Amino acid sequence: MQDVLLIGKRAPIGPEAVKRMVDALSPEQYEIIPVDEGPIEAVVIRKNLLKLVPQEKILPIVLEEGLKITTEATVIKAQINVVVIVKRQIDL
Amino acid sequence: MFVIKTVAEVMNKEVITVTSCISVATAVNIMKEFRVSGLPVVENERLIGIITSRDLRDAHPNRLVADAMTHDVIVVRPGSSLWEARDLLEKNRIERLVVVDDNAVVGMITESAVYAELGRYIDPMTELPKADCLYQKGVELLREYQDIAVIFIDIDNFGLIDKEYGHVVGDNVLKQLAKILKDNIPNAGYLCRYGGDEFALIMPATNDEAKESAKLLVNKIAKTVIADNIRISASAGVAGGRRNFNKRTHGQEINTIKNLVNLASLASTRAKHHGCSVVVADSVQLIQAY
Repeated sequence: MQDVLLIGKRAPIGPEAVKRMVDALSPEQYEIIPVDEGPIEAVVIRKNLLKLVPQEKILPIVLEEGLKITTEATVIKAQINVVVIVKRQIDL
Repeated sequence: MFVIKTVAEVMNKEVITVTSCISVATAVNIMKEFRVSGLPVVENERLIGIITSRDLRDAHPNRLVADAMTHDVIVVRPGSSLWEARDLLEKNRIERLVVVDDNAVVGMITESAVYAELGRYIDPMTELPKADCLYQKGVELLREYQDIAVIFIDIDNFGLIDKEYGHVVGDNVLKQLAKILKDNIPNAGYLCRYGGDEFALIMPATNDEAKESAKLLVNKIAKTVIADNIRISASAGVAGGRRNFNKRTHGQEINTIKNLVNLASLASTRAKHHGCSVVVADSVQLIQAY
C-alpha cells in the first residue's frame, strides 16, 4: 500500500475489497472515502496523513491531481510527501 | 381472506442467494447455471444487497460482489397484495422484488409473474378490473377506516343494441362506455366491469357524495354519442353506509362489500323500473374490524 489509492469506478478491485484487504493487512491505518468525482469511486488514504493535513484540505488536492490521470478502469497508487519545516529561534 | 392472491402465493420460494465476498465472475456463473437475473446478497442471514444483470454490465469480473451490488434493495412483504408489488415495480422501474420477512429473504417475485397473475383479474375487452378487484379495494378502504359507497351502473336496454346493431357494435358500445366512465370517475374511485353491461364503482364517500357522482356519470353517458350514432342511457344504484366497529367481525369485510354491491345493484334495477336515473339504497351499517 502507498499513501493514497484512487479507485476507478470500473477498476478490478473496488473500495469494499480494498477495505477488507487493508483491514486484514494493516488494521485501522487507512480511511476509505467514497467519492463521486468523474471516473473515481473512492479514495483510500493513510490515516497518519490526515493527522498532518485535514481531510477537507488534502482530498481536493488529491482529486485535482488524480482526475488528470485516473480512468474508470484504473487503480492509481499515489505517494504524498508532506514537508514540515520547523524554525526555532534560540539565544546564543 | 384476500380475494386476489398475495405475494407469498405467487413468489418463487427457492431463492438462490450469494454472499458479498464472492467475485462478480462467480456471480455471473451462478446466474447462468440457475438461469436467474438477480441474486440477493445475504450476510448472517440478513439481506444486505442485490446483484442483478444490470449491475454486472459495468462491473469488472474480478470485483467483489460487495463492490458491484445494489445496496438499497426494494423489498416487499409476503403478505402484501400483488397491487402493492406492481406499484413498487413500476415506481422503481425494476424487474424483480425480494420478498423479505423480518429482514430475512423468503422469496423473489418477478414483474412477469405479477403481471401474469394480475392479468387474470382484468377484463380483456374493456381493460377494466373484474369484480374481484372491486371487492378487494373495498376491503382495503374499510381497513383504512374510510366511509365507502358503491355505485352500480347498468345500461338501459342493452339487449336491444345487440339485437338491432349486432354484437360487434354492442362490444364497441361497452368499450366506449368503459372509457367514458374511466375518464369521469372521481379521483379516489375504483371502477370495474362487474359483468355483461354492468359496471361498478367503489369510492371513499358518503351516500350523498356518491349519489352526486352517480348523477354526473349517468348524465355524461346520456350526453355522449357512441359508435354508429348510438345514444344510450344508463341507470345507477348507490349503496353506502356507516362503519360499525366490531372486533368479532374481523375478516368478514368481504361480506359487507358484497352486500353493498348487491344493494346498489337492486337500487339500479329500481331506478330502471321507476324511470329515474339514480336510486340510493337505504343506509347500512358497515362492519369494521379494529
